[in-house]
Amino acid sequence: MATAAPSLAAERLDRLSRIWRERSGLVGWLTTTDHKRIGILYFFTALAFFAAGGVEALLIRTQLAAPDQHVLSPNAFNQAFTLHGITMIFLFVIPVSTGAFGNYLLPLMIGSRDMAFPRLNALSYWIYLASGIFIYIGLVTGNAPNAGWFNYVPLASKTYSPGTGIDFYALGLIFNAISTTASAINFIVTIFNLRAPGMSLNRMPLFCFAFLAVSFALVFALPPLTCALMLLELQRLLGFHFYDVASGGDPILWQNLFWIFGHPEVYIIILPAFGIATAIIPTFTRRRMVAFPLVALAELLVAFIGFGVWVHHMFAVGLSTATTVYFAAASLIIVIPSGIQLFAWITTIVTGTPRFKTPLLWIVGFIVLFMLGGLSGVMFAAIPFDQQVTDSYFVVAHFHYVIFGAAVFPVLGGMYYWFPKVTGRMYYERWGQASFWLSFAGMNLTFFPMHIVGLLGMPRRDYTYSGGLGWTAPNLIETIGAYLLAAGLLMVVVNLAVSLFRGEAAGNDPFGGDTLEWATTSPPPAYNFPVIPRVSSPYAMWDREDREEDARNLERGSRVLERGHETPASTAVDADWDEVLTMPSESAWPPLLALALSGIFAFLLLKLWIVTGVFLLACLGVLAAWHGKEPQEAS
Amino acid sequence: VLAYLPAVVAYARTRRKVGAPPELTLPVVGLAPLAAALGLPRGRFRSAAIWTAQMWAYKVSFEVPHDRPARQRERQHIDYPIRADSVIGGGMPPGQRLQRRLRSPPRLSRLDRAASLVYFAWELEPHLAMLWLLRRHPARWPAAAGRLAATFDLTLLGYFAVPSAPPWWASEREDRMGHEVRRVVAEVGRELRGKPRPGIDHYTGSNPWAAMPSDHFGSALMTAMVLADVDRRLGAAAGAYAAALGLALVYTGEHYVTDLIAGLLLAIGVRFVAPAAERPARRVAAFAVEVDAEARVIVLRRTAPVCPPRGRGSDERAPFRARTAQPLRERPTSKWGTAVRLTAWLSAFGAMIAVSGCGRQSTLDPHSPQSHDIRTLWWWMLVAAGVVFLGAVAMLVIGWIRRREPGLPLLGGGERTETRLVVLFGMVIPVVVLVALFFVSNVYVIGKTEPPSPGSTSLSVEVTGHQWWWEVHYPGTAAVTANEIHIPARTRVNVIGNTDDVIHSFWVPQLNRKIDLIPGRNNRVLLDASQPGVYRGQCAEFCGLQHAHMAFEVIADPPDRFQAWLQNMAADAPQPATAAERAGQAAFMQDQCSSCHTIRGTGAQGQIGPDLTHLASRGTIAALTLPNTPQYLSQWIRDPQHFKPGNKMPGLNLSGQDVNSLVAYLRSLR
Repeated sequence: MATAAPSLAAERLDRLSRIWRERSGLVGWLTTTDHKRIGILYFFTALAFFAAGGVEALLIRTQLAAPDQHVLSPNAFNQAFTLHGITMIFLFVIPVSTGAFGNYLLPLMIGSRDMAFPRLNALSYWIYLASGIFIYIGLVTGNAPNAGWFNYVPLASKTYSPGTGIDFYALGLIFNAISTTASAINFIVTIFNLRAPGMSLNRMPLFCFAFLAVSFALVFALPPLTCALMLLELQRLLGFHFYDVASGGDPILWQNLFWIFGHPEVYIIILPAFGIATAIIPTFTRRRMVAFPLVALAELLVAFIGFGVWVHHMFAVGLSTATTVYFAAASLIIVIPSGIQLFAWITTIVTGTPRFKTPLLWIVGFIVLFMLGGLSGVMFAAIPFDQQVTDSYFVVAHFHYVIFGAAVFPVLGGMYYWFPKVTGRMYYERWGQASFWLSFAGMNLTFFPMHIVGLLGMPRRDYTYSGGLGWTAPNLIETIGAYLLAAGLLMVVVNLAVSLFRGEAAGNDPFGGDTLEWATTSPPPAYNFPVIPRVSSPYAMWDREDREEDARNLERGSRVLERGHETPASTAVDADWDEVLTMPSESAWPPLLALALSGIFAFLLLKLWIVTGVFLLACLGVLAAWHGKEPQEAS
Repeated sequence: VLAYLPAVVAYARTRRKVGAPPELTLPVVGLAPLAAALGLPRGRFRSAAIWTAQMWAYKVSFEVPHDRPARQRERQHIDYPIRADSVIGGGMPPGQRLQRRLRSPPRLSRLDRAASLVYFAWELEPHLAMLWLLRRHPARWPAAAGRLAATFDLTLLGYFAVPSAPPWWASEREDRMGHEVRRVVAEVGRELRGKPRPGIDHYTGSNPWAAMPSDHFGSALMTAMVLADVDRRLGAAAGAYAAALGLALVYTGEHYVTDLIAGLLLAIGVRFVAPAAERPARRVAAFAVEVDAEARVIVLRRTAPVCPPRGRGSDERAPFRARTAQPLRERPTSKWGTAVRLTAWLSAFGAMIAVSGCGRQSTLDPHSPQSHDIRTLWWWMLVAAGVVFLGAVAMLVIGWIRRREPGLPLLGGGERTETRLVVLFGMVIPVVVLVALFFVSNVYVIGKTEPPSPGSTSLSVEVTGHQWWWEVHYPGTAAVTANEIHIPARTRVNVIGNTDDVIHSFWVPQLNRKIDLIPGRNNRVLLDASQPGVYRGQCAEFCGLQHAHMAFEVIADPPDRFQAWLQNMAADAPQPATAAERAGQAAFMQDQCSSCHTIRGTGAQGQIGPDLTHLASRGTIAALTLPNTPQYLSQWIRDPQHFKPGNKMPGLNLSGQDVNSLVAYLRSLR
């Protein structure tokens, strides 16, 4: 009897891994629907685009190192800053935070075995990859977009941008939006329906609240962008007049639509980072988050209020004072939920017993940088000051503190934090800390002087400047800082790459983490958890009794779901056990559909309508085949 | 100069005692040469000190991997150099072959002693060469020292990246070469010193992890190269020494031949790449010299920088140039020590940034009541933001202090207290501050800086943005000009902005906030200069290829002078007076100039380019891209695409004579 129980458990694990096994090799990666493998694909793709965007940034900074330089031609410079913006926002930050971190970790944190729609998840990835390649084909063929990521009309209209660069931008972003929308919907359904039975909403980790907020924001923010882009393409490809004053259109329409998307976008970028921060802080301070309900509420509120402040990007347009003052007030109000989160993190660190390991260092760096970016951001709600410094380098400084400091720093901290979970190996702690300090110094050296140079009147997006305006010294410092920052980031990559092969074995839970991903092995098996975990608080890993109960359940065969490719669904709020879902397994349809969609966008760009139609039919065909065979009960 | 060796030993000992991590040591020693460069007065002494600091940094860095010998040994490559060298030596490393042929163990031969002396001499050779250069050819010294230092540092990088073992090590520990290769140098050293002295043996012997690429050989070669640039014979001698050293290195078992090849390639590479690296380095150095000169002024004169008097073409660095151009007769006092110098250097740097606040396009140097109010708003916001920031950072510092004292009592603890803290700092205080900010900025300052209501000013100016220049009309008069907006000082002026093509933004930071110029809209902004002067403005909304070259000037004149200017501007162009001017006018009409440009009072009525009726009265051409001088004007007419690629003016392939007469004519349009 004493030996029978463990062998029963081993037999169950064996059966589970047989049921959940996917093909290996390249075909396996192409057809995978495992959220973890998709997350890894997202991660490496986003990292490649991060490198591309970084090279563009270094080119920009090299050109601006001194007055009147000719490192880049004016057009190359405009292409570089446009692509830098598009790449970092659409092809790096969102995919790495939602695509890589969200995909990999969210099902683990809620105790599920996969995302709600695994094939849709794969489709999101392949469309993301295809749209990124689509935009970069523009660069390779010499037609990179060059009107800025904000792409204001009439500069972006056919009259002033006759090439195909803007079409690459518009079609590429419409294409990309499909991917992001699909994954956002997937997250919402997963969070609402796939939580381990027992994880009612008030027991859900704050990380998941952040992703819930982001997903809702994405679903509502992307349509205005897609709409604006479609109107633009109708104007460019077919001669419509939506933005053309001479024919009764209005260029301000573009600005409104773009920023209705663009401002929520800022919160879409930083909310996952907030989620990462709230995951790392409790682990390294060995205490629960202070003011948990307030923070959860603040995360949702930020995403909501974020939709009501877009006009503060347009204070210099000449709108009526009543309009601008209203939006200035709204912009001040959004400071409050951000302030709550900020002080909740700080209070947690102060009242806990912090261990300043690499991940927490990045988070503390994030708090400092976010505070600087936030404080300069508040100043933009002062309309006269906004109209003085908007479109100057002061803005560039501000949003790099927010986007690089507040969004990318936690992502880097998260890379260190979950590296042992994903790879099963530890990173090098000393080099990790060194990489933080180097990046932190480089970041401040690059972006802090931009405040000064902006106050000194340097407009942004200038490919060169004259000496004698006080801009030379700060610009040189910024360039030096940019190279230091690049070195710091390279150090992160090298550290993790070397650790991947030589790091010490990490074990399941090297940091004493608080959420469920630490309950399973490192790296997690394809089925995530042998037993659907029991949850009675948001800090599930710290509830020792529940974890012991899980082990007993494995022996008993309770909550194991070993009969098929299954995961439990639960009710949206209270997470009562609802039903057992049979999950689809690997499939070739998602990459094929993404390929057919690429054809549509490519031939739209080339204005070959008939071929576009053919690819449209192909898409419909793939969709029909996709739905022809529903997932089967495993025998 | 040679005092650096004891310093290396001392540093290595204290470092190990204190337990400073390599991540800290490397930046600190890396900054040592820089500190020497910044902290000491220019001259030979400083050069020597920089070199000493550089060598100290090199030696200390060299010691760093010894902190964790086990780890270093783990990373060490032993096999591949043996294999590579066996190929070169035809089955056996050349060093092993040489020792088998030439050594007569167990006694030390004369050859052993000679080779070891050549080896020991390397400790001095590059440095003596540097000293000689410094004495005889100080002008050549920086480039030579830079190259040699680069050689040293790059070999070090090689050691860190791929540590590999020298032949004697492989022979002693690993039995890879049958225990045959003896460490001749160490044996000779012991013989010379009589009894073993572990400390000295350690520092004079070579490192068991630093073989590839050979620094001995690479630096000796580089020394020969930099000497050869100055003195052929000396260079040849140093080259001969390098060759002898190479042989000695192989014979004594210190290096493989592959290490020598790597050292050779490295030295050649440095020599090849160095000229390309020198230009940016010189630029940084020039800036440092400027700051240094300013630091002298601050120390000797104790004068705070002030905003320069302002006028056309004034330069924000003018005060520095003016002050540093005068010879400073005062000798630096004894107080002019390293610490004072570093402080002065930092404050000079800060002062340069502070003075650049006086820039002609700076929001921090307002010259109107409106800009002044906005700047005051900024300083108050900065103070408030600073308080919030420092408060939050102070809390984080408390967290840092508590990291090792978890028992430290704090606030009595309790979930409730903590939530209250969050509510206080995250909600209550922000609400108070934000409400205040809202009323001050968006009710009070906004009212004082907003555009004038129509008809409330005595003067209106219409500004139209074009890709990439500014057209300026004075409604009610015939006056039209470009890129230069004259206004009367101490007078409220209503600027009405619109655009002919894409969106631009009209921004004169010293006078008021910016306003976008948008198709189909007439936006307005108030200009109210407090005193006469020239205020630079620039397009602030990205408008395409030459967005960077779309600047303009607002020139505030005393009211009477403004009236005279306006009268002249409204008049037709003066008639050409000389033959050259007449020829120029004829060329202007015949060539394609007149199809794009207007010159009022002539047949030229083009509407695409700027109005040229009074071109000669303007200070610049092409929207502040070039000064309006005859030389620049003729260069511009010859090839407009050179200075501002993408602008609408084509190069017309005019004859030299045509260009000259055109310039003569255009210069007459006052």
